[in-house]
Amino acid sequence: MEDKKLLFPLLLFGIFFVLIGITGFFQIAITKRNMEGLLLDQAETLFQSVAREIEMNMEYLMLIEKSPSIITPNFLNVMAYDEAIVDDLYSRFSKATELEQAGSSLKNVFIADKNGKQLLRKGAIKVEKAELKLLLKKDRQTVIRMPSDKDLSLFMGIKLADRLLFFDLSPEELENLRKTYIMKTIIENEGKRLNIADITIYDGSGRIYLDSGKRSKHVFSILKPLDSRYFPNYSMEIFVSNRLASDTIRRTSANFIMLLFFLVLGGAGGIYLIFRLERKHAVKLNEMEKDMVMKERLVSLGRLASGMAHEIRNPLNAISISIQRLKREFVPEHEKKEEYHKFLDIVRGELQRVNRIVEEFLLSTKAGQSMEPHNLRGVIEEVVTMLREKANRAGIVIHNETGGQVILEFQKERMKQVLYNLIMNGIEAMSRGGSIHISTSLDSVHVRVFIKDTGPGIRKEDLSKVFEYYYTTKDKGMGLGLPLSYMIVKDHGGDIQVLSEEGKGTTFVVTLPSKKGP
Amino acid sequence: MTIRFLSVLCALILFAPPLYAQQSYREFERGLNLSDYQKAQVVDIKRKYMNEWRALNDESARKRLELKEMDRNRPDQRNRAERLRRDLDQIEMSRQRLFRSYRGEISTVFNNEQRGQFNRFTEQENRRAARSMDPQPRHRFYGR
Repeated sequence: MEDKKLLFPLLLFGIFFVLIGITGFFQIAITKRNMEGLLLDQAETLFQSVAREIEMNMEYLMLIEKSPSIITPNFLNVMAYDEAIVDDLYSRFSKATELEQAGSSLKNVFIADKNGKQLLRKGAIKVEKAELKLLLKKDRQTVIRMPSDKDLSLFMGIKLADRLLFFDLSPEELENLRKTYIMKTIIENEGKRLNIADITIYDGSGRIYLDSGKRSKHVFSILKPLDSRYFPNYSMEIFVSNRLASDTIRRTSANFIMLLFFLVLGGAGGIYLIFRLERKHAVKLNEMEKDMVMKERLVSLGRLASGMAHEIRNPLNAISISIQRLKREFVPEHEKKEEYHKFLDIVRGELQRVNRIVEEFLLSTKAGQSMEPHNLRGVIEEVVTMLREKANRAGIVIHNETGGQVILEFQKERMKQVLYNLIMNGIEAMSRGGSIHISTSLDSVHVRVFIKDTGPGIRKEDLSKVFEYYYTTKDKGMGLGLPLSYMIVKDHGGDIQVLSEEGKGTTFVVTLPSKKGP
Repeated sequence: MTIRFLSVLCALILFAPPLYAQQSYREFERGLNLSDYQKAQVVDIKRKYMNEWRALNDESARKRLELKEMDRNRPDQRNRAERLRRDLDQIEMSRQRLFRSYRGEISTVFNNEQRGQFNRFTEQENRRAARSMDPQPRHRFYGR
């Protein structure tokens, strides 16, 4: 049964968890797609920007060869690239280790020993004697002949450790070098300016033509044809850092996992709490059911006892009359006379005691009395007046704090007996004096009378027995007061609760309906 | 009415120059609409200055190589290196001066509209050069 009750919240939680899981999964997928879209747009924009920059610079390079009519700053900048090319060539070929490579990569090369004797000649290079002599001088390391209107080639001689290297770059070689150099400068500068992770240019056969050489781990790339008039069939790959996107997705995923974790934790905690509350509620309900059964049994028992009392009273009357006749008309002679009277007195005394018990029962069970409106406070005051003297003698002060009028329909004499029993119970419980506080509370449905004493209280294990017949902790008690009171209150449609803690006093709460039911 | 509006809109879209696009040199030169006489004049001026620019470039390249050699082989010759650096600065200043002179001379050939176009195009190129943030002295700002 308990398992079935738990099944519903578990099922509900499971569905909720799955729904959140699916939603989160799609949310992460959408975020990822959006990020990729943004990166693609960014890479596309950067691609266009770099491609345009390459195209414009190449246009200037081509135009300068064809001699433009008007010179603008950019033409001068493009012209200045030759200086940088010379710098680079010097840096490259002045290293002795690259001498063989220089010989193979250049078309027109002349290599001589340190005395000027030819070691290698390749292509149509012409080295003037004056240039050779110049380089043989101790303080000269290079000779250079820049391109001019008459000769568009670039001639250069470099003194190495044990060699003299001369090379002549043809106009085509120089143009290719300029193109490469301009493109290299553009991808370096644009890479820095636009914060591009890497730019790679591929030639027509798909080989790497130029690479900015900054390989990063977290990159997103697009590879597209360059669509350049000056680099036909070339393509360019732009690498954009996707660190931020990856970080965002990673954080979103982590947050989602955390959310699921806390959801599981919260759900499990909630289900456990529901389980605990359910158990607690079931235990309380069980106790209440047991209490109800016991109280109903007590009421039935009380009614049965009341019926029996009626039946007992008639024979008691007959016995009493017979004893009176025995005492008056059948007195024995001399020696047995005293003993005879003594036994008859005992019988009569016990009969009176039985009669008193019966009378008390009968008074408490006068259910047939009519219900009439009375001021409850007045009734409480009457009972208090009745008991105040007795309380005072025991050193107990009774405080009637019931306030204004509380008009209710009840059987006055029986209700007086209830209040009498409860207050009397308090007085008898406090052998060393104390106080009793009587108060009322009223709401739309009930009137509650609180009778609170400062006595020793009732032990927890005895609380359930106080309304049982003949249960008493007093020497002279009969154990009838509380069960009879309970029965009377039940007859009025109410209830009595006892709240007590050992050593801290006892409070009886009499609950009565404020309006009579239909 | 609607058809007329749409045709005007289409004409605007087709013929209006794109405002965001950077003007290329070819577009700029075409836009100047130079007469044959003007063309002959600007070519003469350019030829005169071009040789000077080339000469300056040659000299700059030589000086830079010389400086590079010194940096590698003769680090003790500080004074000479300093002088070479000053020479390179002078060459750079000469280049700029030469461009200003060229600009002044060529402006006399242009009418007001052409002059404005030339100035705007020159500024546009300088802005682009500044934007590229090249640390090397290849991108210089001319005519300022």
